[in-house]
Formats: sequence, C-alpha cells, structure tokens
Amino acid sequence: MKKIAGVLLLLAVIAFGAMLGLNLEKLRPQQEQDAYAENIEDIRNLQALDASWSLATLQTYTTPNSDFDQVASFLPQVRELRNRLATGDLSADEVPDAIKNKLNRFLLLIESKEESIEQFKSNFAVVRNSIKYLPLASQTLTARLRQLGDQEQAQRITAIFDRTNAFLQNPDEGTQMRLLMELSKMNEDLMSFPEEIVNPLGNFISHARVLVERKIQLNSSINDVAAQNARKVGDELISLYKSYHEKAREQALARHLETYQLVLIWATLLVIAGLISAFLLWLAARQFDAKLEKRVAERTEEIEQAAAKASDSLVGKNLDSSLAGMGNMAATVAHEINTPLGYLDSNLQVLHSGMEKMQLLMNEFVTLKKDLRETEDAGQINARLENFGALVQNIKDEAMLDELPEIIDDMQEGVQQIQHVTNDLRDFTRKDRSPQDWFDIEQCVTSALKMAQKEIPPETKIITSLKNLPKVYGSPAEINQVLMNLITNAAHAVEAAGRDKGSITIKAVEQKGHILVSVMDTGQGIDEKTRSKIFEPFFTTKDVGKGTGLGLAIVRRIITAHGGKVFIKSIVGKGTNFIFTLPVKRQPGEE
Amino acid sequence: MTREKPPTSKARKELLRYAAGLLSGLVAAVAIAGQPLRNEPIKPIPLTVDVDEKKVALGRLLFHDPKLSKDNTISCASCHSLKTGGVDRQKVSTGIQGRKGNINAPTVFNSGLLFRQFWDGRAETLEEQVDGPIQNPVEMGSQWPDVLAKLYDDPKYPGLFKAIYPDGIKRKNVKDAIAEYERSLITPNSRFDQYLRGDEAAINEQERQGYELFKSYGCISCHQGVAVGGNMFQVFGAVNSYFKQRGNIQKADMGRFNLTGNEMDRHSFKVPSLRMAALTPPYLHDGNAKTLREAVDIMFKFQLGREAPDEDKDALVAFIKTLAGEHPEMEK
Repeated sequence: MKKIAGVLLLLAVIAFGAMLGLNLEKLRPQQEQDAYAENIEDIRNLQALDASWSLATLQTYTTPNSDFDQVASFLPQVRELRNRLATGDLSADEVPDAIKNKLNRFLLLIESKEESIEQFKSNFAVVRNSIKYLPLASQTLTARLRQLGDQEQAQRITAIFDRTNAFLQNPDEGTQMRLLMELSKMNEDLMSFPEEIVNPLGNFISHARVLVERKIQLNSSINDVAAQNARKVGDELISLYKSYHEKAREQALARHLETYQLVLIWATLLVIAGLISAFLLWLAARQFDAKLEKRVAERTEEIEQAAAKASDSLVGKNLDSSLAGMGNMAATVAHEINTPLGYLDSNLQVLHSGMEKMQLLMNEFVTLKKDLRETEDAGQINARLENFGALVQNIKDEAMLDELPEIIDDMQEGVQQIQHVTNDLRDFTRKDRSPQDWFDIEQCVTSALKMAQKEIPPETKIITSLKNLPKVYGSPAEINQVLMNLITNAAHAVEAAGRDKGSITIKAVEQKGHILVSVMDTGQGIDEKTRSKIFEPFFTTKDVGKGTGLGLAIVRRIITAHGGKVFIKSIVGKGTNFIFTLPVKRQPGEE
Repeated sequence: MTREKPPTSKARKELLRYAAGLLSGLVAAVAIAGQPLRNEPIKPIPLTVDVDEKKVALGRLLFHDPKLSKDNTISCASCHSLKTGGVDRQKVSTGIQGRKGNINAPTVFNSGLLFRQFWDGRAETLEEQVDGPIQNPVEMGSQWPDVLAKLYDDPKYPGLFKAIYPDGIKRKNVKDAIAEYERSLITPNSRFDQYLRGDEAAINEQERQGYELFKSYGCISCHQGVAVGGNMFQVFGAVNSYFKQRGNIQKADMGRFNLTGNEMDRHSFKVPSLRMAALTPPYLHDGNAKTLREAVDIMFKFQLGREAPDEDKDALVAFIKTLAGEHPEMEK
C-alpha cells in the first residue's frame, strides 16, 4: 500500500515536471513579439529607403554635374532589408499566403525599383550625351553639306533634327516609328553621301536613333522610379501583417491560457494524488496500529498468564522485581492518595453535618420571619423563637463554626498532597523534554534552594561551593527539579535525624569532561538495603504525605537523559551524599 | 521597341507631387551627405577606410594563398597582383592547369567602392564575389569543402580564424575576411584627388584640359563618382555597335543580359572604374584595347559616337593617368 502511494506520488510529480517543461516555451511569447516589431520596422525602413532612393535618383536627373554614387549608396541597406524580409519568419510556413503574396509583391516592387533605377542611369547617361551632341552634329553636318552645295540633304538633316527635337519634347510611339524608319533609310543611303560626310552623318544618325529609342525608355524608367511606390504595398502588407499578428497573438494568448489551465489542472491532480497517497499511508498506518494492538494484546495476555503461573508457583516469595516494582507503585500511589482522600472524606462529613444544621437554622429563620408577619399568636412566636435559639445553641456547642477554617485548610492540604502525587507521576512518565539551552549550574542551585526553602528546617546550614563552572547544555528546568528533589530529600533527612545543627552541602566541580554535583546532608544515612532500591520508582521510606517514591526515580531519569549518572554514598548515622554528573559539551564557537 | 507608353501629363503631375512630397526628406539627405569640396561629378577617394585590421590581416593571407585553388597553384593574387595595379595585365587570366579565362580581370583595387562585382554585376557584394573565382573551373577550380579542409590542415589558420570568428574556419568567414581585405585596398590621394581637394598644382595643364574634355565629351555621363565608374551599367556600344564590328560574339559579351534576359541589357556591363586605368592594361571586358589610348579610341567610336582630335584624346589619357592613387602594397 505504501509502495503504491509512493509510486503514485512520484509519478504525479514527474508528470507535473514534464508537463511544465514541455509547456515552458509556450509560456514565453516575447520572442514572437520582438520578431514582429523587427519585421514591421524592416518594412517601414524599406518603405522609407525606397522613397529616399527614388528621390535621390530623380535628383540626379535635374542636377548638373551629378554623379550616381548617392543613388548606388542605397543598395547595401536595401539589399540587407530585402534579404532579411525575404528569408525571415514572414516567409515561414504558418504565415498565410495573403501576407506572403503581399510581401513578395512588396519585395518585387523594390527589386523592380532597382531595375528601373539601373535603366534610368544607363538611359540618362546616353540620352544626356546625345541631346548635347545632336545639335552640334547637325550643325556641323548641314554647314559642311551647304559648303558642298547639297542643300537638299542639308535640309533633310535639319528636318530630322527638328522632328527629333519635337519628338523629344513630346515623345509618342507613332513619331518614333516614323523617325526610326527615316533614320534607317538615311543609313542605307549613307554611301551615297560624300566620303568625308559618311562618318559624321553615321554618328548623327546613331545619336538621333539613340535619342528616338532611348528617350521613351528614359521617360518610362523615370516614370517607373517615380510611380513604383512601395509605400502603398508596404502599408497594405503592414496592415495585413498586423491583423494576422494580432489574431496570432490572441491565439497565442488563448494557448497561453490553455497552458496555464493545463498547469492548474495538473497541479490539482498532483494535490489529489498527494491526498490519495496520504490517505493510503494513513490507512496503512492504521492497519499497522491495529496489528500492533492485536499483538500487544496477545503479548499482554501471555505475560499475564505467565505472571499468574509465576504467582501460583512462587506465592509470597521472590516476586519478580518488576512485578514487585509494579506492586510497589500501586501500593504507594493508592496509599499516597487514599490517606489524604480519607481525611478529605471525614472532613467533608463534618462539613456536611454542619451544613445540615445550618440548613435547619435557615429554614427555622424563614418560618420565624413568616410567623412574625402573619401570626398574632404570641405563644406560637415564642415557641418558634425558643426553637431557633436551641438550634443556634446546638451549633455553638458543637464549635463547628470555630473549626471550619481548620477543616478547610486540612482539606486543601489533602488536595495538594494528591496534586503532588499526580504531578510526580506525570513528571516521571513525561516523554517530552523541556526546552534545551546552555545554562549555569550555579543558577539552578540558587533557584532550587529557593523552591525547596520551605522544606529546609530554619536552623539547617546551607553550604555551597560552585566556582568557575562551564555552562552545561540541557534542560535547566529539569536540572532544577533534580536539585530540588535532592535538596528536599536532604532537608527531610536532616530533619528526621533531629539534629539541631545539621547542614546541607552543595558542591560542584569540573572533572574529566564532566561536572560533578554533590548534595550532601548530615542526616541519618541510608542503609545498604535501602540504597539498592532507592532509585526505583515508587520506592519510599518516608511517611505518607512526605514522598511519592518518585523523586529519585525522576532524578535518575533526568540525569540519564542528560548523559550523566547518579551515585549515592551514605554512612548510616552520619549522612548521605548524592552525586550526579553532567557531561560538559563545548558551546559552538568555543575553542 | 518601346517598353511602355511615355508618361502622360497625369503621370507627370503624379511625379511632381511625389517629388514635392519627398522634398523635406531630400533636404535632410543632402545635409547628411554633405557638400563636396567642389561641385564636381568626380569625388576624391576617402583617405582612410574603416576596416577590421585583424580580418584584413587574415584576408591578406587568404588572398595570397594558392591553397584556395584546386591544385594549390593559383591564389587570388595570381590574377590580381597588388604589385601590378591589382591585375595580371593579361588579356584574359590563366587559371589552374593553364586554363584561360573568358573575360579580362578587373583590378581588385577600389573594388569596395563598386556598386556590384564582376563585369556583369552578378555579385551584389564582395563576399558574394569570392565564390566566383574560387569555384570557377577555369580559375581556381576548387570546392569549398576542400578549401576549408586545406585551411584546417594549415597550422596557422585555425588559430587566426578562432581569434576573429568564434565558429572558426567556415565558408562565410573565409569570404568575410577576404572581402574585408579587399575593402581595405583603396588608392587614395591620387594627383587628381589632390586637385579636387584644392591643390591646383597637383595636375598639369594638359591633364586639367583632359578633365574638362572628359566632362564635355560626355565620358563623365558614365564614369563619374568616387571610383570614376563602377556605379552603373551601360551598354557597350551605346551609340554604335561594337560587337557588330568586332564579331565572334561570346557568351561573356552578352553582359548583364545573361542574368536578366532583358533585351535592353544585351551587351550591358558594369561601367569600369577608371581609377587604376593607368596601371591596368589591357582594357575593356575582352582586353581588346592594349593601351589606354586605344581604349579611348574605342570609347569615342562606340560609346560617344563621335570623333575627336588626337590632342584631345591624348589630354584625356593624361587626365585618366592622374586618377590612380596610392597603396603601400603597390609598386609605383
């Protein structure tokens, strides 16, 4: 049963621990929160970079002497953010497709922004050069052609130049097509021009073609840079992500609560398991008790039978010493209690009869009072008064009222004697120990003397020699009692010896790790036969009312419990010396 | 031919409004960027660069270590020798087992200033670039696990890596160290930069004239910024077709088109930085221009689509030669 209870409890604890360990991760939602905040920040940063990047790009278009370093300087940051978002937890499996798609769109926008910027740079560089060079080329060519007298071709070139210019102002695909066709026709005719014209004209045509082709590309790349605004998609992404995150957080919170619930349930189960185990243990203990009781009962019966046999065979002789002890105990206790009970009883009888008389007097008084009020008959009242007077006289004669204080005092004394016996019995059988501490023997002697003072005859001399003693560890209250018992015994012995100038000497010395305390009296001494029994409980030599027979037994029990021993030395007619030892333990912190 | 309709007036208005809306942001951006010493389209290279010296030291070792190649014969420095301007001065480089590359090796100097890496800009960062030559079968021809294993076996590397990177010898750490070293390879304080910083005597009259021509002919449209290039793509043959004339068009000639498939990216390359041009012949992605002057001729013909007198071209070459700055590991 105990095993089952133990295993049950162990299993519950293990299960609880495992459950807690498994759910510990769930109890920490902070990381998700951080990742979320970082993602939002990355998106916002990328939006901001995208905007500044576009602006920096367009700025190069309108600034003379511009370079593209600043435009290119955005790349590392843009790359970092883009890679982080693309590979981060926003692309995780559990993220809804709507968000992933939006993220992809957002990142694609950034990517195509980069592409548009590259196209812009390339187109812008070429268009810028050609716009600058074309008028020069046109002028040089037409001037030379006019010099050569070829007005027609000069005009043709001027016309293309003008139309290219017009196209540059307002580019449209129709004009572009027509111009490209014309340029290509002119290129085919190239060899019909004078040789010195061929190369400059070829360059003119190339530049015009570059412009016609690239201007639209340039405009479209500028348009792309300006129009591809990642802000809107970024905002949409953020709002999608936010609502998803909030939902996920709610779910996480719910999971969190569930986890707490789980923990709670497990804790409850653990408590229940504990209770069950405790119950099972209790049950086991009870069964054990029952068994024990049964065994004790059996054993007691055996002993009783044996005792009966023994008493049958050894009537009146050599009784077993423990049985004798028990007999002693019963006899002493009965005797010690019966004697005061005896005079309590007789005193109570006296009181009782007295009280009966008082009762009669009271009744007579009440009747008298009534007659005085109701009866006119003087004879009747006189008779009553006489009756009353006789009762009072009777009480007076018996002197009961005079004896009353003495009777009550005697009864009180009897009660105290009984109390004394029961206290000693209790002390002797007490299993618990009074509080332990470091204490001074000297103090114990002082207080024991004070307590035993009323037992010590006034003329008895008290000698103490208690110098430089280490403190002792133990129960000062118990040692007080030991000393008090010994001093009381000594006082009784001195008194019993009837010597006027008796003395009690209390000495204590330290010797070989022990303190030896001796209480010596100049009493009548104890003979050897008595000495052998003197520490047995309920053994007493004193008159009834003077001792319970437990005093020295208590002394021995206490001293033994303190790790010490009790000895007795005595010379009949000279006195007795009770010696007890207490081990000297070192106080913590002492060398 | 056209990709999209030209902007309508509505779109233009949108554009204006958009630009206006962001104007406040621009003010801040310009204020942060600061005003250059002169309002010139070319900016001086910063005199110092903020790099982790420990990583640079490790990166230098790796950059010069042939263990990075399959047969332990080729290091990064084999084709990008710092002594010779960060290039091998070959039309195309020679990799392991004498294999020829398919494109002219660009200089490693100032590569940290470029907006992308490789001629076609396929690598966004220097770190990403490292993968290319190490794994390219005609260059170093290695596999990363082999490289890492060789570095492990080298007594000096495990400790050096551990001192910088808690996770020790890892592919990303090798790349990080090499990239950091490359970022340290700037060439500041060129004569032209001194001129930009206010020392009028730093360049001579022809060179100054060359700079003015560089701007007025329109070279500056592409070759601008701190690296004098390296911050944009341009079609090679923007005005006149280079490849029609040269012929024998290879995959490498397609440039960025190989990546994007976009028709407009056909023959489009990263505009190379002219900073180290004085020291890094031959020129162009195909190494077809043996001299700077030849390169200038080609540029005039196909990029600018115009003619120029020899003295102007000479002045341009003189100017371009003032752009190369200093680096301790470079032989002057």
